[in-house]
Amino acid sequence: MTLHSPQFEARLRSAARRLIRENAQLRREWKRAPRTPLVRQTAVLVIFRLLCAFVLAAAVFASSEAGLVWSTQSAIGAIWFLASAILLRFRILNTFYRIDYLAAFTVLPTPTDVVVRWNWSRVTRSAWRTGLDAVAILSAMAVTNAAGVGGWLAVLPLAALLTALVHALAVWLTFVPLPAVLNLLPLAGIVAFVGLVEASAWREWLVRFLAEQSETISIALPAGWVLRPYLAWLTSSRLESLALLIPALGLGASLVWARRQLANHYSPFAWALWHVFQMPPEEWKARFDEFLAAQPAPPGRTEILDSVEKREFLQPSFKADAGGWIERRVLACLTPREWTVIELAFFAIPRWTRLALIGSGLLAVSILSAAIAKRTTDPSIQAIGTWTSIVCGAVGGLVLLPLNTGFKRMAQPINAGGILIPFGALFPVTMKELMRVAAKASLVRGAFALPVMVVGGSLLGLALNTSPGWAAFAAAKITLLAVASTPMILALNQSSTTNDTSIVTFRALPVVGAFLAGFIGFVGLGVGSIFSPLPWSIIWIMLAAGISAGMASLYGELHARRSFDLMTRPKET
Amino acid sequence: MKIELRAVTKRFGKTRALDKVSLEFNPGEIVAVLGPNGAGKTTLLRCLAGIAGPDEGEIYFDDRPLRRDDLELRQRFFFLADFPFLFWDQSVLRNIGITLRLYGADGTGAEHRVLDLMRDYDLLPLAASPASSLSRGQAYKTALTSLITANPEVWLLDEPLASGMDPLGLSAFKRHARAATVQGRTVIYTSQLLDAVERFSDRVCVIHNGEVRAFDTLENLRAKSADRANVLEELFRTLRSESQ
Repeated sequence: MTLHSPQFEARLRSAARRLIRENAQLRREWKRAPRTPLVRQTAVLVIFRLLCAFVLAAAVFASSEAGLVWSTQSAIGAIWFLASAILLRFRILNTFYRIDYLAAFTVLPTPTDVVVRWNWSRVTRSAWRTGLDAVAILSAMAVTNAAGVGGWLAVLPLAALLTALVHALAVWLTFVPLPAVLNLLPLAGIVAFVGLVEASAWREWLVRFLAEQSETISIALPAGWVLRPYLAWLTSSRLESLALLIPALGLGASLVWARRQLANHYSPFAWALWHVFQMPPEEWKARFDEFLAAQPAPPGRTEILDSVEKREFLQPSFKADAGGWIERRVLACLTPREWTVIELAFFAIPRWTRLALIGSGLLAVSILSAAIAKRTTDPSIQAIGTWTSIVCGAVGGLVLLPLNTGFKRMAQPINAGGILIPFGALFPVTMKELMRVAAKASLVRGAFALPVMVVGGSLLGLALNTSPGWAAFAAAKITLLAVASTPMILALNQSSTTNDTSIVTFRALPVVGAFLAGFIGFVGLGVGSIFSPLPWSIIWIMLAAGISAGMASLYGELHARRSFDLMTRPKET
Repeated sequence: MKIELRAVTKRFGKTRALDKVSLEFNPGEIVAVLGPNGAGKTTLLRCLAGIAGPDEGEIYFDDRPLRRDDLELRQRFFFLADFPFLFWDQSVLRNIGITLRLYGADGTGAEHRVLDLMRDYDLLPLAASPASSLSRGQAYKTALTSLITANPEVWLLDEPLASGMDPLGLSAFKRHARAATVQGRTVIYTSQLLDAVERFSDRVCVIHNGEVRAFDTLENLRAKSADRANVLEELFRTLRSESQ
């Protein structure tokens, strides 16, 4: 049994077209009927991917031009393909657990193995992206190292191996719980990389870091097991690296096993039934019954009547003393109307204090790791310490700072008769109200983060033997920038489900251009402010805050004027 | 509240979902919006609710142009999609509670109104149940309870007669809608059920290919029709024959 029969669909299509050709009215309606702009979507995807492949190849050329050690090239590729594997891991899960497809399968007589095969075919079709990246980097290596015929002939087989390896890694990663924020890591990595390259003070550090760590990176990360032996072969140095091909082949071959494991653990119908139809399958039912038995008895008619009479359901569900310090301070700043808005946006009390504590803990680990790495002479401990410090510092900062507003739920798309409408669209809540509540929450979170960041920054400065004063000041500026970014982030979040459904007018283009310019301006001024002395740094931060507020105002005004729709393009009008 | 659409055009790509539509809805009337699939009925409701913005023309509520940041105006109408938006992880009562607070309709006496409506719609036993455990009809009844208690001036309802509500629920809905119009509320709804529409509408708006083809009382439409007993069906047959 297969879900897709090209022959049958072709027969149906030609029969339908024959009928349409024979009838003038049907011909007119056929022309008017909306169709998925498949060619345009594919073209955008291919152009974007070619751009990615170009950036990857350019990074290899740049490292060669800069005269960096040869293993830098494989380190760049190894990091790139690790990020690819993480993104692919999320794509696989999104494909396998896409709720609208699963909901359709639950009412069709479809065996699970057929669904699995169908999903694999969709995932496999996207393998060309990794393949293209692999060809790009291997070709760049071949050019920079003046490869002979043999070197060029090896590009395609090695690209295939690299693609299989990345896919295997991605499938294995589906068994590891990863926070969704890791989706942003590649983008954050590119911004950080550009910042490092642009700042002369850090460029030296980056060059030194690559010189010292590229060996470790290209051995530690799986894609390096293919890239490093290839480079070794091209440059005829360190031929013992060829042994790395053995684990690479092993991991690549494990793709078959990984896929089988995922298929074995896949229970789409249980998931879909549970979430869509609320009818747990038998094996879940027993557990659910046990759970229900342990719960207190549901309220009886008298209790319900009593509760309604007492107006309990009209009272705020967030108690003033609920949650941690940050949540309590935020709630204390809100008006009764804003209290209702925050309940609509979150429904359960946000966990900002817990996030802040986790972020602070990670920063402490980052400082400690940096101090150990700086004081030890053992190169392996240095490498582990440096990497732990970087990862914990980056993740800790992301968690501690008010970068994740949490108001994304308001923009969460809800399926309403075939179109997607943002959750908040059907409720009488304005963008201004949402902005005000988000700004208040961000200020309180920023007030908590500021002393932690300043102390953390100065300690990190001490650990790295740089000026603790400069590091503390930089940390304070990062915190201010994070707070200042709130309106921009909220506008970007909300705009993710607002659309120009007209399309033909292209009226969205100037807005997208303005947003892009604003975003680049904010990032540029932010990076500039960190490396600028007083008073320029404060001026840059204020300008960045102005850009962020300006973007939010522009979006708010367009939103108010209904310049775009709070829905995707409908199939039926 | 008087609602006026002035030459409203809404395009989705090359498709004109609404083509220079001009309409006026008066307070205290029930208007059914009819039309074949893809005619532009739901788009009309979405434009009225501010979810979709017109490409040309404007919509006025009491001569006031609709803006999404006009909270006072926004609280005067309630759009109920054919599958209502609920907070699925929250109880029925909590759902009603937050909607009423957002509409500023949680004043004294709201609890009694809610109780009466929950009795009417057989929701009392489900009051503490999570919305996720409701059937489609029960979910619609929950949203209707919020709507009727919020008492907005304009009710915008997408396919309420095919919402999965049981006959008693439908009957209660019609009764409440009729009572609301007596208070000057306007009820605008879409439907495909011509028999029900004939019994439950003051005026009928027929849309075809984004254009308003008829907007009149049923009496006037009957007077113009050859088949007086099945005036709406006759209208649809005419539209279909025109198309072919």
